[in-house]
Amino acid sequence: MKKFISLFFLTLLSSSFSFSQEGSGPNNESGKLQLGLRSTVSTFSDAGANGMGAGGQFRLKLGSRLNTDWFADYITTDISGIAKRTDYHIGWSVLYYPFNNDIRKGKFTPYILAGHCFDWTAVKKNGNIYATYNVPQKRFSSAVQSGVGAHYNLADNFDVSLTAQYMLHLGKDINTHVFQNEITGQKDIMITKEEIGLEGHLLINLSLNVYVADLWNKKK
Amino acid sequence: MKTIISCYLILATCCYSFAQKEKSSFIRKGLLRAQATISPGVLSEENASTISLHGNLEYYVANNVSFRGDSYYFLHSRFENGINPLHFNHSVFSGASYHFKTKSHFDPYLAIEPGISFTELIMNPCPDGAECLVGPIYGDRAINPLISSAFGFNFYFERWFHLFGETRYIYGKHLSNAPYPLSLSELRFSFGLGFNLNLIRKKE
Repeated sequence: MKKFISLFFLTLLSSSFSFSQEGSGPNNESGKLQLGLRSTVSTFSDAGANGMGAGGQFRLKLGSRLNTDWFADYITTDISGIAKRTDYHIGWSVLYYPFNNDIRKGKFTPYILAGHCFDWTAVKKNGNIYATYNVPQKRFSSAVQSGVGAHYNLADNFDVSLTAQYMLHLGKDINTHVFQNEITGQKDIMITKEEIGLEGHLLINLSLNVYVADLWNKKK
Repeated sequence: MKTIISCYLILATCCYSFAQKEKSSFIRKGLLRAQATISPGVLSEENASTISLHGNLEYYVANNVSFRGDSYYFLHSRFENGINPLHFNHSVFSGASYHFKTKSHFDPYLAIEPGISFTELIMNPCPDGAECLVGPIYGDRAINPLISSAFGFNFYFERWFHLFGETRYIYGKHLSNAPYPLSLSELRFSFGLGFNLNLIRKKE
């Protein structure tokens, strides 16, 4: 896993460097503000379960090839039908357009991104609602993320974006272990809080974004 | 269920045939439309049916793209096994629609909308109709992320009004302290009369 992460970051770094040799075009895009909504799938986590989330973001362009993405996500994960994991993410990413920065109807604009994020996580075992013995585990952590994505411009002022990013959390990991309970004969779960360490997952976002303002209000 | 689908198909076919060879003056950037209707649904993995009040507000940010918000207020559900664990399942969605270009007032579209639902399960310890000393027990309320996709049509036949029909698939799961997760995967149908006005004057 560590080899995979190192390789991923090295590839990303080298590709960013080679693409950044090109110059940028005129800075007409700077100051454009987009609002968007997104659906998220969280996968390849240590718990092994896939989560689903909803959230929103706004994007503010800082240059013709540079964009910033400020997001918030709410993700829930069903762990083997016996526990629930809840994640709240709030963070930001910088997007760089290495190939083109053409924002027009019908255009496809790929990008690479990196950023960081704060998150709060809780894992709670589902219980019989007649009993309330569940003791949830909670943690707060920060994370860095990096990935690739692309906008497809359905109109001059509207795009659909698909992003895949790996998010690496630094904090006390909440570990879950599902096992067969020998006394009850049913599936059970052990939820423990580990010492500070690294834990990661892959996030796939599908977002819908509309241009709402040009904050610098430049004359073209 | 079959009746709903048949009605929907007949309605769409009628609108499409009437709409041939007209040049649309309604479907363009600046159009604002809204509707409120009653929406039946089928919880596909739970063998149950639902009824909700459905409201929608949509604004065309381009000639072929609109930004929209939808809300569903849960009224009732009926499970085939008679247990009926869903106390409520209200949901809100926000996203966008892509409108396929036609040369008429007929406006077919495809929408993707992320959303959330606000749900609560209820456990009734006694079977239906039996006398019971213990009242129903409510599970923890939960907010669940959803993803939905919809296809449908609008048919603009008057300056202020239009006919619409929509089928929506919702994917999600109720996760709470109930003994097991409940699938919220659902197919919802909506049709009726909508209201529209254009906020941007057309350039002559």
